[in-house]
Amino acid sequence: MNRLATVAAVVGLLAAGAFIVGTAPDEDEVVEPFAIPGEFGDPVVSPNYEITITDVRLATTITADYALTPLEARTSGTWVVVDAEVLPIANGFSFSNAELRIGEYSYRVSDLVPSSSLTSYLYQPGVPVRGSFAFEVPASALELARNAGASVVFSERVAPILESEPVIPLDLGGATIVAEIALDEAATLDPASTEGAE
Amino acid sequence: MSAPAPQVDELDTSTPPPAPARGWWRRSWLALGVIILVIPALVFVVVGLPLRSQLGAIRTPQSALAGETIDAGGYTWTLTASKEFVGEGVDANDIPLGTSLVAAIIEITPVDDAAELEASCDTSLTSRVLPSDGPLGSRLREVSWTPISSLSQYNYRIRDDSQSYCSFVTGEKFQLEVVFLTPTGAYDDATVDITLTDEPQTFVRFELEH
Repeated sequence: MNRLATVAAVVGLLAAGAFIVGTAPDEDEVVEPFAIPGEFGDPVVSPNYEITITDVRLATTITADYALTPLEARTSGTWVVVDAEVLPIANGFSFSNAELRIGEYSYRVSDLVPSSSLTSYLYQPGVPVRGSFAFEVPASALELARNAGASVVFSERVAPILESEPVIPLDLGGATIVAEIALDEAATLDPASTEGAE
Repeated sequence: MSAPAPQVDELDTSTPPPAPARGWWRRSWLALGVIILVIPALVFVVVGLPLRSQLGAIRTPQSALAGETIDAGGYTWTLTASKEFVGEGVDANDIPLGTSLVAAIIEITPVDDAAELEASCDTSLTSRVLPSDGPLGSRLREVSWTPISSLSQYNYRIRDDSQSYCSFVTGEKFQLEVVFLTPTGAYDDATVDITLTDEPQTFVRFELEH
């Protein structure tokens, strides 16, 4: 009888172990970043900054005349220009790894936009900044966005690990594609005009 | 045929049975010894080592008022001037409303052979109290700014005898002029913190002029 109970206990433990191993999250899931869900037009607060998406525009060409070397970039797809206001809380962060996610695809923020843009800005705590991010996507991505949805994700590293990551949904279906968007240089805002989220 | 004699348990009274407790100790002393050694070692590795590392990273600066001299790392450091330029708007003085430029001039002189011929330092402006109704609210008690490099954007020009980067290659005295962009009001409780890049323990802090 004792032997039977021992065998049953061992089999039970093995089954429990197999269940745990089978249902445990894999390594990527264990270290994946913490998404901070946000809404278009509302401030989203991460440990290092507060960001508000103020507009989304679509174009086939973007220009930037403020730089010493002006930019004129035309694409066979579509430029998705995301306007935003950033209130830095700390320093030492950047948006150079921001992504536009459409369905299962991710598009990195363009590094063609000359300095100073939100991507290259040297942020100072308490000094809010307004500017734009530009993403180049294929024409088919907009159709996919209508079906699968789109969101902009602000990662601070290429492979973020256990970090906070604002994720803000965008409605790309409602925007019309214009021929050209002239980007403005990132500009400092009056801190008093920006309400901090508490 | 006679019936077998009934078996009677015979007690061996010549050697008394060992006390149960003594037997348990005899069987377990090795395991207990291992536990006594391993658990403190585990606590030291998991808690003690990271704690010691964090405590080692805490550095205490040598502090001084503006105009006073600090002797550290083979150099003397003196904050000779500091000033806040309050923003009146980009159209008025090129400094956005609600922000200020904070400038500080630090004189750095090598005093003996301990001074490295080639060295650099990292500078920051640190404020410990922010206006509670400011954009950062009451979330932060201490915040640091790094020097800005785009001085012409704010129509700021450093002195001819100053340099804006903290790098000394000749071992000679020089004057460092650093400029920060902050929310207006940060100047009142701010200090300029300087660390030798390759010697983090050389950490000096200056109060600003008021």
